[in-house]
Order: sequence, then C-alpha cells, then structure tokens
Amino acid sequence: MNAVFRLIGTTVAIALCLATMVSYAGSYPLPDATDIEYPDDEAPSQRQIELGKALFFDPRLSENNNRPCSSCHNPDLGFGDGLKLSEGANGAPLDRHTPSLYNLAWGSAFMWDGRAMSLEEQVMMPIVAKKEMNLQALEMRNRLIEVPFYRREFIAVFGDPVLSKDSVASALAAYVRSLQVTDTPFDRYIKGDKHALSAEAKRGFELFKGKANCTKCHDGAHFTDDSFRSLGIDGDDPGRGAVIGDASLNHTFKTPGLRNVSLSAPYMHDGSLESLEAVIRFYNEGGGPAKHKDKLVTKLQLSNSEIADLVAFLGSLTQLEAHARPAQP
Amino acid sequence: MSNTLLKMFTATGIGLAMSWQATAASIHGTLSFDKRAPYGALVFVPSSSQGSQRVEIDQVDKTFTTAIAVNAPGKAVVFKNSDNMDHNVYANDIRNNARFDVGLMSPGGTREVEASWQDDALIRIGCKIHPKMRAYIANINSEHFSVIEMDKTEQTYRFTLNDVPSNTRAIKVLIPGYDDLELHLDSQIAAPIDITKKSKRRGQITLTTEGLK
Ligand code: HEC
Ligand code: HEC
Repeated sequence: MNAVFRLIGTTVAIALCLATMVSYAGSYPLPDATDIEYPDDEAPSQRQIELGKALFFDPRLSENNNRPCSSCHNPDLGFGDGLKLSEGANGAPLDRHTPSLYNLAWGSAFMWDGRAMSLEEQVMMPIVAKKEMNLQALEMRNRLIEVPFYRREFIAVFGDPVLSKDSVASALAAYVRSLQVTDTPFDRYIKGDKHALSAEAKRGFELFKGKANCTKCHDGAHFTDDSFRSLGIDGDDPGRGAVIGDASLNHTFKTPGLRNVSLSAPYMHDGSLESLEAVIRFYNEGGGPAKHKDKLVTKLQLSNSEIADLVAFLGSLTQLEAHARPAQP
Repeated sequence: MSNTLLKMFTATGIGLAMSWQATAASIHGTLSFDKRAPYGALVFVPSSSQGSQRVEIDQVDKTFTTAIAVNAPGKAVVFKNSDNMDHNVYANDIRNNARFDVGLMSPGGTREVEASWQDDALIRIGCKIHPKMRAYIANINSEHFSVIEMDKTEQTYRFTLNDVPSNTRAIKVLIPGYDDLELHLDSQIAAPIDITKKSKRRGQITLTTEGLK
C-alpha cells in the first residue's frame, strides 16, 4: 500500500519536473547580484551611487571643464561615444576605442589591457591622464570642495570633510558598478518566457554556443570570461603583453562582455568594426590577418542567414532605459 | 557537481596526518563574518616538524581545482592543465618572495614549480589569460590544519582540528586579503577574537578546546 503511494508520489514528482523543464526555454547562467565582490563586502548606499553619478557627469573633473566622464561614456550611446577613437584633451584621437561600461561590477580586470585591477583604481586613471581629463588630484579637490553639494555629500556618505581622492574613486566606482544590464529579452527567455525571443534570436543563441564557438571566450552571465586574446587585428598596440611583461600576450585585449553591445558601435579595441554584422562577418572570415591570432579564432562557414541570426541574438541582450542626466551641482 | 563534492570534502577535511605524540586534544572553532564571507580560510597548528603534503593543482573549466592548497615547505608544486584550452599559472607576490610564471600551458600540459617562497603565507596564483581564475597556496610546517572554503551564502563556518598535541599553545588563521591571526590558546580562549581586514573588524572567531594540557 505504502509502496503504491510512493510510486504514485514519484510519478507525480517526475511529471512535475518534466512540466517545469518544458516550460523553461533554455538553461544558461544569468546575472546574480550576490556574485558581486564589493570592496567593503557589501553594496554601497544609493546615496553613494548618486554622488558618483553627479561626479561622472560633472565637467569640473576635467582640466578645461569640458570633458566629463560622460563625454566619452555617453549613456545615450551605450556608455560609449559612437566614435572609432574619442578625441583627447589636446584634440588628438586617443590610442584606443572607448569601451561601454555595462556589468563591470562582475569584472575582474579593467581597460582593454586589464591594467586596472579594480574599478576604484580604474576611475582615477582618466582624470589624471594628460590625454583625457588632465586634472591633478589636488586641483580636483580644490574645485569640488567649493561646491556645497559635494561638501555635504562626502561627509554624509564617507564622513570625509576633505574630499580625499579615495572617496572620489569610491563614489565613481559605486556608480559604474550600478550600470547593470539584467533584464533583457534573453533573460526573460531563459527564465521561461518562450516568446521573449524571436526565432532568429533563438537560432542565433544556439549558433553562439555551438557552431560559431563564441562561448569559448564570451561565456557566463555577462558573456565574457575576461580573457586576453588576439583576434588577429593588425596594429602595433602591445595590449596585455606590455602590462604583464610577457611577449606571448602581446597584442591581446580583454574579451568584452556583450550585454547591451548593440548600443555601443563601433567595436573592438581600435574601433575598427562599425557594426555587429561587420563583427560577425569578421569572425566568419576567421578573424584578422595578424600572426598573433588566437588559435580559437578560425573560419566559421556561417551562411548569410546564420550571420543574421547571430546579430539578432546579440540584439536580444539589450535593455533599453532612459538615463536622466543629473543637474550639475 | 564535482565542485560541490570538493567543497564538502574540504569543508570537513582536516589535516589527517597522524602525529607520533600521544595526543588526545582537539580544537573547535567558529568563524563568523559581519558581512559577506571571504574566499576561504586556512587554520593550522604551527609545528617544527615538516608535513608531507604535496600539492597538485589542475585546471578544468577555467577554474583551478583547488581553492586553497597546503604545501610542505621545500616540496615542489605541480600544475596541470586538463582543460580544453591554453592556460598559464603565475604568482607575483613580491612581499612573500613568490614570483614564478610557467608560461603557456597547452591542454594536457604539466609543470613543476619550486615552492621556495615565504612560509605561513597565502600565495595567490592566477592565470595571465583568465584573470578571473585564482587559487592560493600556503607553505606551512604543520600536521594539523583545516582548509575552509567559503561562499556568498553563509556567514558562519566551523572547523575542528583533531588529535593535536596536548601541549599545543597556538593556532594560526590565514584568510586572503585579511590580516593574519595568531591565537594563543591559553590566554585568548574564552572570549571571541576579532578577525580584521586592513585593521578593521570584519568578523569574529570563537574557540573551544578539549584535552589541552
Ligand atoms: C576622453 C575620453 C574618456 C573620458 C573622458 C573617460 N574615459 Fe573611460 N575610457 C576611455 C577609453 C579610451 C578607455 C579604454 C582605455 C584603455 O583600455 O586603454 C576607457 C576605459 C574605461 C573603463 C574600463 C572599461 C573596461 O571595460 O575595462 C572604465 C570603468 C572607465 N573608462 C570609466 C571612466 C570614468 C569613471 C571616467 C571619468 C572619471 C572616464 N572613464 C572618462 C575614454 C574615456
Ligand atoms: C578567442 C576568444 C574569442 C572568441 C572565440 C570570440 N570572441 Fe568576440 N571578442 C574577443 C576579444 C578578445 C574581443 C576584443 C578584441 C579586440 O578589441 O582586439 C572580442 C570582441 C567582440 C565584440 C566587440 C565588443 C565591443 O564592445 O567592442 C563582439 C560583438 C564579439 N566579440 C562577439 C563575438 C561573437 C558573436 C563570437 C562568435 C562568433 C565571438 N565574439 C567569438 C574574444 C573572442
């Protein structure tokens, strides 16, 4: 009797399992806020994020009061600026393309060559860089301390009346960490909404994991393993090799995450590819011509419709949102 | 799956090497963190005699197979690559005199590294290609140790060191990124002791012992 009940129980359980499995459209890791490793082991306050946001959009952080972070990392252009290479402080183009800033909260190395080990370290680099904002830390402090809003907020958030550069870095990093893309059609699809993706995008997802081999590098919830690779793009930029002092990594660059990638054309460390379709065609040809190309980059034999499917899939990783610019304090 | 198994092992795993002394003592401890727990901890009874642990660390699915490895000073460490892609293993910890780089390791590769760095320190190793990959190796003279792997879901962890010499006077606690702790069992045993990171309190450790003389 008991055994019969157990049998029925098991059958029901199996049936339920099957039912839930079917209702899931696919299985793939999604962003998990609890995976973020914050420097203080806990998320910053909303007030700290807002302070960082004010700084991010404030031109006072640049020598000539005309180059806020947001002038290169424009929220309306996926936190890039739509240019192959941004214009530097002296009018000359920068050496590398301006990347977007999404989901760096989960990142492990920053800049195309990974030379910054934390966002706190990274965010001060453009401020003091001669070619970028060109403002020395002391001058930055002198400017900010004039502003009642900053005096009040640095005390409230950090208990810091002197506006130290560590506090500025901490606020900016908190804002950058808050730029998270977690609710896209793709996320809804994986969570069970079978209709969230078009047929093209579904096929593109299968190609991305399969025939096109993209997940060898663009894997996990943010579609990157942060690995340093060469796609065979020609140029004399040593990339990672110069940072780590290892010639075998010359001309390698960080694999970027792909969430919201459709918003931030053009692409690659040199901004050389103008659209997502151009990127897929580039991979389809087996990458660039340079000798240092990674052996994982090979010709793919994708048809035109498969190329379109992959572009549709990358498009499904998009979370559109309006970013209101804060008023300058 | 294998990862969970591994964790279960290491969480309860203790230095099983038996000591020649007539021993009956054990030390139990609880580590609790105020916020998110760190990567893991290594707790050990320092000793003058050398242990026999030999470390072999493999790479599979872009992760090191061991989170915190315990090596006997003077023993070489073996690195393997059982993944389906190239990797590298390097350390660049100048303070603890640990600098090595095995170069590019293709799938199936094996390399041996002389572990001639500072004792009683957690040496971070990484892969130059995959900056997310990390693990730690400690050279310690100890026959009684416990590696505690931690994760984001739990803030409290327990450990037990069994069969320690009954005249044990101190244990050490090493946590990546945290200040090293040496606990003297006679004086500090009653009250909880702070665990600190850059001198700021991040948690507490509480100890109880049995059979210590
Ligand atoms: C003049 C244009 C410009 C300005 C202004 C600028 N950046 Fe950037 N940013 C870049 C470029 C170019 C890179 C890539 C540089 C490299 O990899 O060498 C970059 C990289 C970054 C990265 C690393 C992204 C990654 O994927 O690793 C972050 C984070 C960042 N910037 C934040 C900021 C912040 C915060 C500010 C303001 C304090 C700022 N940037 C100002 C052009 C700019
Ligand atoms: C060998 C590792 C590797 C593989 C395989 C790979 N990528 Fe990449 N991907 C990279 C790296 C590295 C970059 C940046 C290279 C550079 O700038 O020089 C990149 C850049 C990109 C970019 C531009 C992102 C930006 O913000 O500029 C897109 C889009 C992209 N990859 C999509 C794909 C797709 C789709 C596939 C499969 C067809 C793929 N990748 C396969 C490593 C890889």
